Amino acid sequence: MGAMPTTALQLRPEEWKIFEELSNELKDGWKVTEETLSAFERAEELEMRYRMASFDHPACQALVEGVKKAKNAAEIEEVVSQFDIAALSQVQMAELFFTLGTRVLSAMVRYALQRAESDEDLEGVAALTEVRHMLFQVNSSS
Amino acid sequence: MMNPRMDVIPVFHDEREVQEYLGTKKRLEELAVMSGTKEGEKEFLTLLKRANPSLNGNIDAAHEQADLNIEQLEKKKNFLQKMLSVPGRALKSLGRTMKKHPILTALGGLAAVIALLYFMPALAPTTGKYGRQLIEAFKEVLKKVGLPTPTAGVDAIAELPVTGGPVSPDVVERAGEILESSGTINELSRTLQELSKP
Repeated sequence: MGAMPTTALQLRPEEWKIFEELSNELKDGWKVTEETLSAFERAEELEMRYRMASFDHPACQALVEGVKKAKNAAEIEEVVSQFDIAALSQVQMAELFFTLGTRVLSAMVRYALQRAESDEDLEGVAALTEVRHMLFQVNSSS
Repeated sequence: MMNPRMDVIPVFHDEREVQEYLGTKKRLEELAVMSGTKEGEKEFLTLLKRANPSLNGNIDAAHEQADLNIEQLEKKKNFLQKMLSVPGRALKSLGRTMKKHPILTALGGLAAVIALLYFMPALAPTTGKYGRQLIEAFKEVLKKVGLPTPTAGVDAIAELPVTGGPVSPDVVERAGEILESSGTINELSRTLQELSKP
């Protein structure tokens, strides 16, 4: 299947409700399709993904160094929230989303959708749903 | 169902590591289907025993671990291929969204740091110092994006020194966990189990 156009959102039912609550002006021009796949990862699959992950991008190494200097959980959160994910290569981004899994991605979709204020914001949500759909596809393949 | 053990043999990070450990040229997709037939399973067990003759009573656990590892490596390979087809514009949008919401960025960053500090041999020896705080930060961020996890286990995490030992003399340079902090890894497992509940 080819890449979805960026004006399409693939939403699960609970996300569709959030979308419906957005202003008509914002919803205008957006096509919504239902995400019919739901192959979420099992715990052991997620743990294995963490164990076999390879984050060798310099930005990841720099992040680790920053975390090492943090004094507590709040400081760690502060450090990691500055992480420039956009600087990662496509391969490292794939590694990251594969490790996070579909439940976390779904939480990201809900979070970003609830706070969407512009078409640009919805484009980001659309990209997240596209990545999640690909992950669902991979999860459900034998 | 009990979770499979993940410390019986090295964890493989890519196809090359699997091939080197098992001493085979078989591709991931071939290895992934071997356990589907009796003949293939027998051959796979032979490869495992040859790779590590000291497995003895752990052969079933090693088999289960390797199966899960290979299955996930193959899925990762397929996911990567799909990701490479995502247009640059969509990726830019995605990056912008992550940047706009620091909490989403934090989730991604924490996943990378946990994977690096817990499981990469070069960095794992330092994990004991940060393990508890990392898990606390991870749970806090999960809660903020609407994925609460139980907090009871956090207090149970000991400020453990890093424990563990060499897993195999023939571990390839990057493969497997050389050292790990068992307390924090158990807590990570519990968190991931909670995350996996519908």
